[in-house]
Amino acid sequence: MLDILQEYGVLLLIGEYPHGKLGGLAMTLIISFVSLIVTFPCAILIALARTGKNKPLKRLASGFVHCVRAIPLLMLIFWAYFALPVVIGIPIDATYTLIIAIVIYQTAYLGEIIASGIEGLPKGQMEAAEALGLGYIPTTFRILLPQALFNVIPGIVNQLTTIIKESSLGSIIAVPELSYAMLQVNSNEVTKPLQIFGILAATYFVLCFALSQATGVLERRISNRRTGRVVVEAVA
Amino acid sequence: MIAFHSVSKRYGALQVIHDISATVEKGTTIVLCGPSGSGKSTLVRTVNRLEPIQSGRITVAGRDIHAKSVDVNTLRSGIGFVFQHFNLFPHLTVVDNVMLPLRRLRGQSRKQALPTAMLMLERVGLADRAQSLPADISGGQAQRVAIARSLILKPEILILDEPTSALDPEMVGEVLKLLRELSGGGITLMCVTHEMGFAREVADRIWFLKGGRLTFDASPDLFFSQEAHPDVRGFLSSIHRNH
Amino acid sequence: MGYQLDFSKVLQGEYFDLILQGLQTTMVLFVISWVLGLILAIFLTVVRAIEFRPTQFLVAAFVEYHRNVPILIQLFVWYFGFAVVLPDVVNDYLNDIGAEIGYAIVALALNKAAYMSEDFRSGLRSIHPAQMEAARAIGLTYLGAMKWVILPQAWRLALPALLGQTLILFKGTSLAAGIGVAELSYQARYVEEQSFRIFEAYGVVTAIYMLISFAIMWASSVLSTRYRLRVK
Repeated sequence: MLDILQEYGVLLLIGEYPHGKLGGLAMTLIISFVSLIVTFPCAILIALARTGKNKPLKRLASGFVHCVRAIPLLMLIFWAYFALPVVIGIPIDATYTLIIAIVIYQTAYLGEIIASGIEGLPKGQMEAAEALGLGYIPTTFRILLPQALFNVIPGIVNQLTTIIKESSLGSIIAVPELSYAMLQVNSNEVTKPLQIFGILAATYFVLCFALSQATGVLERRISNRRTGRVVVEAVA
Repeated sequence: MIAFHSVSKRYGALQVIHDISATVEKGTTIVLCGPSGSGKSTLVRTVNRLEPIQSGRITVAGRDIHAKSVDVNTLRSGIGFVFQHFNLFPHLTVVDNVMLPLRRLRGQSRKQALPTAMLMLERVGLADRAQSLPADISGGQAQRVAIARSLILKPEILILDEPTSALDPEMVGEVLKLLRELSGGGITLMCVTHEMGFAREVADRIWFLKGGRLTFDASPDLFFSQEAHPDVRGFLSSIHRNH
Repeated sequence: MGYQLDFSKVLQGEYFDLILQGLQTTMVLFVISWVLGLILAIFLTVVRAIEFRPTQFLVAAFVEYHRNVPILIQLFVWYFGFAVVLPDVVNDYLNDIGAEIGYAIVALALNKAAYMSEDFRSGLRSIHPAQMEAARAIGLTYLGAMKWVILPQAWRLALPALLGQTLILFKGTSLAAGIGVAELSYQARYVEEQSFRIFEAYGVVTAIYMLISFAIMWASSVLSTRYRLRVK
């Protein structure tokens, strides 16, 4: 195993950079973080629509979430990779289509988590803000959201873990992330698949396990400090 | 009927019951009371072996309950036990809860067990709630169902561990009324409770426990009189002060 | 753009047959993995409940592996990695009969078993210990108490999570395309490549997924409400 790491270590970590595109583990992490950051505001919008008073908006958001949850991520990736460039008429790099697909998918799930966070706040928060005469925007953004988001920090970290795992699907459409890099190594070194995929599995394991431990720690510390429900997973 | 011979029990380093010896005559009603942590709940829980003991002997109907020849499950089916928090089974309806011992211990079919269970529910005044789930009935009703369940196999002994302590005040009465009727009916009753009025009315003897010891064992007349043990008088006056 | 939508090519003839075959493969993957996963999950939960550190650790490690490694990678490990362990003769035979689906079933079943056993475990843990006490106080044996009092509550408590896993498994079958199993997503891409009908091919397949997913979601909702456990 060590010899594989020695020979291909750089490829696995950062891809073909600087002679080619960035790839490998670095790419996986970049894709994951970028996806999470772009998802974040979209998910907040969905969450606000789901917990708000505007009925049509609520139903729209609800419909969006239900539809996205009914489709496998892989299909969304196919749509983004094959269909989207045709629709807008210009070619899109595979990496961006992966990010787009993950963002759409996770907007639904993260949106549900944030909505849970908002609903888990004590009712008194909303009432106190209304009694003070605050309008919708200040109430939401200065009082409800900060608390809700703090409570769902474990949930957000958990979704990051999920996104890292989902980025592996990029290997199916040749996005140069970690799994794809490993597939390339495997076609080179045909005789050592167990070691190669063992390393791949181990890498994801270390990454995700560390994050899930962090989620646990965060959950405990936040539970102690805040009122309202602390959300870790998307409620079914 | 029940006899404690120098019974002691520890939880790790903490001595919970200190060398208690006492007897419960058949058909009598014993009320146990005392301050928190005095070991009264633990003591009654030793009778059906929910709590093990480290030394001493406990006999029920003359037989040592810890003897090798005694099957703990047979022992327990002959003793009715009612918990402070009812402990009804939430996935079963009221009547299914009451029927469970008949169906699973005596192997009766639903058809066979139903009439007996319904009679028992009528006895406790809840026949109309037979198909309800435990989550949909009040605390007082739940406790009466628990009592019905504990009596369905017609045990000779009924033990209750603070049966009314978890109830809202207005529901305590209905449960005590049922217990009063049972007490007069010939069953051997051991009841841990703070309801001293109840104790005064129905108890044949009252046991006062403090610090794991049976400090005072007396008839109600003596218990509530001026000649009672000073700890008892202190206990009773503190109850009066708080009511 | 000049793209004309034409569903007729995709909804009939050989392309449609391919899509249907894909659907059939998906359902085979789904059902068999689900059943095997469930059985294994029950076994794992029982093993973990036995107070023996080494086996408990093994089960915990099994669960953590399957929760932290992407499903696609788990498929790769089985398809690429395990094949090396088997002798060549076996491999040739397996490849001839289209063994990818077997590997996919194994990977998916093990993955689901890990998640489902966690759901059972948390269902068991959320039952108040007093329930066992009350069941024993009546005179039930330990096994009797488990059978009539504890387990009926445990599966009801675990039900919503289990149904959630069912939906995830259904969608997860799409990942088998990554190792060449000709299930629905794989066929979608194949038909699209062959017929150049991008929107129609993906549209029809997406609609099929959504239909079945909605059916699963509806059934989940009905079942969780019916078997919801309310504790006093």
